[in-house]
Amino acid sequence: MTQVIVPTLGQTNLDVTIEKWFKNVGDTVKEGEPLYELSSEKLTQEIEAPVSGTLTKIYKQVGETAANGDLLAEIE
Amino acid sequence: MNLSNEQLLEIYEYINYARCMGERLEYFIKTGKILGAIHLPKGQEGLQAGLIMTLMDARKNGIKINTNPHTRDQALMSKLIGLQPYADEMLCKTSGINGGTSGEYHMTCVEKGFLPAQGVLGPVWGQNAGYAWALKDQGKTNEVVWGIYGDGASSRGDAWEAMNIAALFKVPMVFIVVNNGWAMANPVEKEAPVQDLSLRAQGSGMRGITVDGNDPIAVFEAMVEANKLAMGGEPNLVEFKVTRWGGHFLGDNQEVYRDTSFLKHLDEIDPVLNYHKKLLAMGLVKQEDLQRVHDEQDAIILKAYEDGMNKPAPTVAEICDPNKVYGGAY
Repeated sequence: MTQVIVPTLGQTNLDVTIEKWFKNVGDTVKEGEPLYELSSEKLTQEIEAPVSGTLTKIYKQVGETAANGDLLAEIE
Repeated sequence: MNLSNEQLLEIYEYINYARCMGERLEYFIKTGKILGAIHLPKGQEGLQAGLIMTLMDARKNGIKINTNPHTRDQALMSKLIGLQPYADEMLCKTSGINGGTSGEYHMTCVEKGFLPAQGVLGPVWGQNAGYAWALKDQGKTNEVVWGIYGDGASSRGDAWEAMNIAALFKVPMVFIVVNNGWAMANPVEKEAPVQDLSLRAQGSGMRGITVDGNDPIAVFEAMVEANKLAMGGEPNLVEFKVTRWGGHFLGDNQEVYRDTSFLKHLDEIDPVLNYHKKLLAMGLVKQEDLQRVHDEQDAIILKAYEDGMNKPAPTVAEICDPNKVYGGAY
């Protein structure tokens, strides 16, 4: 099982907002394809799936905020 | 300068190495293994390969390069201090070059020629010039300093002062301006009244040239000559024109301030692909070599990061020790 965690992108540790999930729970994901999009005051970034597998859990829904290092999803 | 086939293939390795370094940095940032505010080198691999080639060539000839690589010079940084100590530092591990406490921009190893840098970009040229002055004062004739900064930093007042002092005291220093057209979100035409920033050297009576930074051979040739001049008492400036593909840092939404339609035609401007095509036409490589060499370089970089991943991180006390932050440089 691989954990998807919120990366630290900018120069400040601002909370990020989940803008979009490109996949739903149960979907097959391929390493490198877009998984979700996050934003904060100064940044917007699409994040790819770190591994191939099945998206088994999503912990943060669209519109929810999360901090760097928070668990976002699990891929098995 | 006529490069041998071996040299051309060495550059081929470095340009692929630089591409893989950028790809892996992006991957490890997005997977949360490396903390962000990293400025990705994508699009500037031609410059990286040319600078690395110059570094390696200089070392073979007993010349020490002292520099503090700029934000997108991760490939050069790792070649300067060694890939493993570099990767471990990026992962914040005690086995990193500065014990996992410095982060990317403040890596320092004077012994290997990685000079310390403070947080504001332009003023470091002054510190570089001072270091070069000390080299001259101590009679170290086989060393040279590269001050690498971007177009934005070269517009700062401190940059002019550094050029003046360097030229006045004829110190062994090459001012390198990496002109990628953007100072963060500010286009170069809104920060500088000249197109070629190499013109700025004239104000100090130095030679300044503009070189295509996408062509690693041109970069290597320009830097070998620039080193020779600088070590002979003629500090000088080399401007490399390159293209920044991504935002200022990973996560920077450049769409809001920049026309990014060029991203649809990257094959035309890709320095890695263009160099590959050049060697292909010369019969030095085959089509399949591009993927093979890419994968070889990627495996080397990936192994370094994976090896570093499970090493211990520094304690709070270690992080707060100023002697470790600067790796004993001061």
